[in-house]
Amino acid sequence: MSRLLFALVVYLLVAVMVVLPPVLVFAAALSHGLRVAMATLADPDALSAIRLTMIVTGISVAINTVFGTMAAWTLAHFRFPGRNLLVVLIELPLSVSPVVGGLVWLLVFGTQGWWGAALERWGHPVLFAPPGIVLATVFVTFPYVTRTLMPMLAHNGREAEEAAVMLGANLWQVLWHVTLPGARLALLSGVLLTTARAMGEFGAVSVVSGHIPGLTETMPLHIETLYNGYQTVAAFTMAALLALMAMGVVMARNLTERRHGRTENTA
Amino acid sequence: MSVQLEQITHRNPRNGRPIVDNVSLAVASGSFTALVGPSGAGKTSLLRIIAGLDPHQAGHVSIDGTRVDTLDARARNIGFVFQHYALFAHMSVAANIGFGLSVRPRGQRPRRDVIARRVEDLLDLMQLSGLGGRHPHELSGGQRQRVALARTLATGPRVLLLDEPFGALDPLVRRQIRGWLRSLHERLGLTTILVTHDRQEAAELADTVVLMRHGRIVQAGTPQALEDTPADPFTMAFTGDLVRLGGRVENHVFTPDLPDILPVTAPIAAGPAELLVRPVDIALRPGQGQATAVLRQARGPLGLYDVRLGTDTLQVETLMPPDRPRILPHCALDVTAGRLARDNAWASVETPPFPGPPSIHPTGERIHAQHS
Repeated sequence: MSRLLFALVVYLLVAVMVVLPPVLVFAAALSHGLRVAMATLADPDALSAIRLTMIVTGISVAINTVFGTMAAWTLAHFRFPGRNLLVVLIELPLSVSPVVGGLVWLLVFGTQGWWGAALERWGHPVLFAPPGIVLATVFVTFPYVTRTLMPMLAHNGREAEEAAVMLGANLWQVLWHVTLPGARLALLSGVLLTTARAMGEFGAVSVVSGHIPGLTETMPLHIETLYNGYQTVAAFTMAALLALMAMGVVMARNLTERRHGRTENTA
Repeated sequence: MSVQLEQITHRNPRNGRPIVDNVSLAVASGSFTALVGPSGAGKTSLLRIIAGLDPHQAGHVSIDGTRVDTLDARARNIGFVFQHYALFAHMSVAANIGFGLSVRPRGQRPRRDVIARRVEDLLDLMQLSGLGGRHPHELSGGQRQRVALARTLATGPRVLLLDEPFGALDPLVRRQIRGWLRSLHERLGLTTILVTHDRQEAAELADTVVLMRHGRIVQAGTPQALEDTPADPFTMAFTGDLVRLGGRVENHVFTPDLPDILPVTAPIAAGPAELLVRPVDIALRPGQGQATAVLRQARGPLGLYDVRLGTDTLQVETLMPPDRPRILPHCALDVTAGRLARDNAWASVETPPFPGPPSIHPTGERIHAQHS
């Protein structure tokens, strides 16, 4: 009886807190019909926001995949002074408010900051331009690849790597043929998590972007602009699209994890 | 290829305690050496130092007389088989075996078809024909072990290091693979060093057994030498079953605390001492004491007797008299084959020079020779 009650409470919570918001978002987007909703996406500013989000996500994910993998490999294999500090630093973006992450770049590259004026003079501004948005996104999403990959690399692979070394493989051959393939599912999972997070980032990006419609607005920022301009249908349509993209990525991640679990069990 | 270790020391980087402590060892080319000892004795560490996987802070490793201390593990051309096989789970069996050849620098890398043929040959040699396309998780433990061995042999190493290679296998497979490994060692002319905690496995496989404890070598020699002339009580306990008898030495004569054990002479100063003897080396002497021996189990010509000595019961395995009596009354025990230990003293013992009736003893000659 009490078990049933608990289950009921959990279902209710999930329904209100998790299911209801996206459902309402979709409902609001489609309140004037699918055609009206689709029309709002054809707006040049909307298209620009979608394009910018894709570009920023692509670059950030690429950067974080390369460096996150290197960080995870280093941390999993070597014990060195300051290692624990490095782990804490890598996790910092998880605990620090994204706005703070954005402000840091403002301090470094802003016109009042260290290099901002010089960059401005050369005609390559970082702030209020796509490079700044990429920097902010990279900061916020840095931990994900490292955190998903590190336990995997530390747990298995040590002996396999040593076996490869004994067979004559050099560092790159070990990394390329043994370490990364052995952890490829964990890596994919981390990459997808990074992707989902990068697409949706608002706080850090908001600080450095300058909100210039058609130029420096990503999808989340454009949603805010639309909403503040009382363009409800357009705002919710964009929100629904962003939610769909994120759900797709998360679903892909779950699929890889399930496959991952299966091979783990049979191995 | 011979392997020489000179005063190798490796310390735990965290607390500075030696894991391998001043170890010197010469492994002859073509020999089969077993490193044995309790866990934590430093066997695996020593093996990893030879391979170049672990560092050493002092001493030298030489292969065929050339020092390899600064040589990278990958350049030593040593084969290493890991305890848990360490197969590459995402590669097929064939790719696993061919790995060592396919990662060679471009100039030395064999052509793809040459590698494939070599892999086929090794699969045949390891009795794994037809399994090249499988993945490691589709194989049994014994098959995985053989894939690991094939992968190691593919690059043609002359020195083979094996770290507890049979630990995860069931006893029947273990026995099979053991015999097969020994014949492989001979056929390929390898120099093999095996780490194991199983003394029987070591005795069965190796020409030389090296017993380690606390990071040091306690004794090295043929399996027979270790069993017959153990260097200390630890070696004696490690190499076989043991009975320990307390007693006292007075005027170089050791008298056990238990009754009906014949005294023995020993070159040890007066005081308490312990006599260590293997159950198979204890002889029964009917008519010389008050003990009764009861046959518990006959094993061919040998009989397992329970001998009551006061409140204690000793188990003695010995040659039975021709009439195979179930009960032998009025016995005494002869422990001349034992060794006496006290602190650092360690000595073999002898029968005091007095004539007695013929004894029943498993090895016989020793006693009879002394009496005749």
